Amino acid sequence: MKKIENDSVNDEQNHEEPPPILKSWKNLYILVLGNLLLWITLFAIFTWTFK
Amino acid sequence: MNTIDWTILIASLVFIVTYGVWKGRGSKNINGYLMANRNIRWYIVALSVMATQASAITFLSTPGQAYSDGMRFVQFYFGLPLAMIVLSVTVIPIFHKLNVYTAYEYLENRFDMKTRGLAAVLFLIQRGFAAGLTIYAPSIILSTLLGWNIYMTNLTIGVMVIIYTASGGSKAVSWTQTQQMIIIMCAMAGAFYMIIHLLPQNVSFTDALYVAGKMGKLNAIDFSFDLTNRYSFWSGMIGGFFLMLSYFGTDQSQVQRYLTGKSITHSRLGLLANGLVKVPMQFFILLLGAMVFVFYQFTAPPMFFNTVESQGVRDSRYGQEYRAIEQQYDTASRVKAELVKKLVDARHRSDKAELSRVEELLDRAEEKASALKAKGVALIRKYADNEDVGDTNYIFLSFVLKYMPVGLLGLIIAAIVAASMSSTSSELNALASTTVVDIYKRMVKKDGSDRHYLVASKLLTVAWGIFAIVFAQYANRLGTLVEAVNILGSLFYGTILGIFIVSFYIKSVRGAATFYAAILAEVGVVYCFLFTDISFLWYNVVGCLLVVIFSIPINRFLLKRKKN
Repeated sequence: MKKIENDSVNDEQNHEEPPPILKSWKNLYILVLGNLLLWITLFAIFTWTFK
Repeated sequence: MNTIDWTILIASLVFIVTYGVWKGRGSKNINGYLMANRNIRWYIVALSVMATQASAITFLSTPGQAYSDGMRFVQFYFGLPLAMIVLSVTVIPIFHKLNVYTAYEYLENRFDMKTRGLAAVLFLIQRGFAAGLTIYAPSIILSTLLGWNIYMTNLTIGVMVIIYTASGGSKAVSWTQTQQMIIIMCAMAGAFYMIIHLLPQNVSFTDALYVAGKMGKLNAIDFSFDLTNRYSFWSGMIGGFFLMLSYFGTDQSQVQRYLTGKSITHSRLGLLANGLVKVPMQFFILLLGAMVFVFYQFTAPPMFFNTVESQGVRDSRYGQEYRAIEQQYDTASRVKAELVKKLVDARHRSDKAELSRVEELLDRAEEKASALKAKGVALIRKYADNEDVGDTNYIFLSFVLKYMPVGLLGLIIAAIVAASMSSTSSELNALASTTVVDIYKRMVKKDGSDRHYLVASKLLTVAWGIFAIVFAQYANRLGTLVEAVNILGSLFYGTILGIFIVSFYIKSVRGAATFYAAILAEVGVVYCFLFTDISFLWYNVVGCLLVVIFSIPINRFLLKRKKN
């Protein structure tokens, strides 16, 4: 009985579900990359503006 | 520090320890103690991962880095979001599906027990010493500037961490790190507000940015490709990516943080949130340092921020020479302050001719002040008989102690101690997990009860904590040991990363080949250390590449021999 309970917990933990936002993991990865690109662009503008 | 500051500091630390003990209660089995029952939500995972990486030295040293060298250090973190994505796609699902406690456990599933044992031992050596350093590094700065006893500081920080980490395990570590990050963020935001407030009345925030930019401190991006340039866009994207991949993917102190996530989704979201927040957070901390620099353009700064060293040289046979340089530096700083005021006035009037005239004069004044400081530092190094003496780590705290109001000072000191505690607690938790799961349970006592391993984990947390404190006390006597620990880490890190890269990406290579490749790679790294001038940071790359390069032909050779 205990093993069945553990298995069901593991299944729940290992199940690959979509993220709570943006529908797919791919979209979330694009968001993280886009965010990095945005910051790099802002830093570049920041550097050139105050140079 | 006055009574209010002491009250805030003590109350914050007592709260963290009590909260940790309270939150960690009820960890009755090994899964609960080491993995928090794998029940932590994503935002706690994100804060825990961030708090583990951000030690006290991050908050002490980073603003000083911007003060001395500008903001280009932010580029060091550009590879982090990419590494978070790669780990989310590859490592997290594998670790979760195998239900592992440690990263090294996976290596036995993929290869064999000896490869697992080798990686675990390499981790224990490097992280064991690093835990001592995490306590020692802020202690030496706090004791120097506040006059605290270094041994008592080490002991206090160490004992507080041991109390809640040993009693509550992973759950206590994750939850206290959330509180620690809140204290740190509040302190940093408060310090930022105060710095802007302390600038002269007619100097706005954009004026401050203008001054910092003109004096070369807002160099956040450098696209030039130069292998000798430590911080550029390319070194951050490529070198930083490998470093972060290695740190977050193979270092148990980080792996354990995201494996406590409720599910693959929560672990992934925790890492991706770190990928979203880390770069702007570092930018903000560096901007804090740039603003401290601007503040000291209107108020003459000390020539050297490490007061113990500067007082030492004043009292030595170099005292007269040093005082003369200090006096000249003070005069140069005052001349510079007048010029900066003129620069801001000219900016307000949009007087371009005056701006270019003042900028030219300011460049010359800055050169003169820098030359005088270099002369003074050279004298300190001669007196201390140590070429590595510097004051970057002391700049921010020195400023805080002199100019922060009552209350905020106590909060900032609490934040620094909290940052030290957060990193140390993750390290102790990871050291205990690896020792119990990969060494004790696998090789020494295989048939113990769950309760037996739970008690062993608690005792080993205390033992590693005592080791870290003892090492911190010893490090105080041998200054050069700090560098030795960094070199020691670099001697093993590359090899561990190499083992994991082979395990994840070169499916045809088997355990024995990887094990022998790792041994050969380690010999190669030690050879570089003993017989070449290669800088120790490159040992990480050398170790990793050698494991990958050696493993393929060794695997072929072993397969061929088996067939024959």
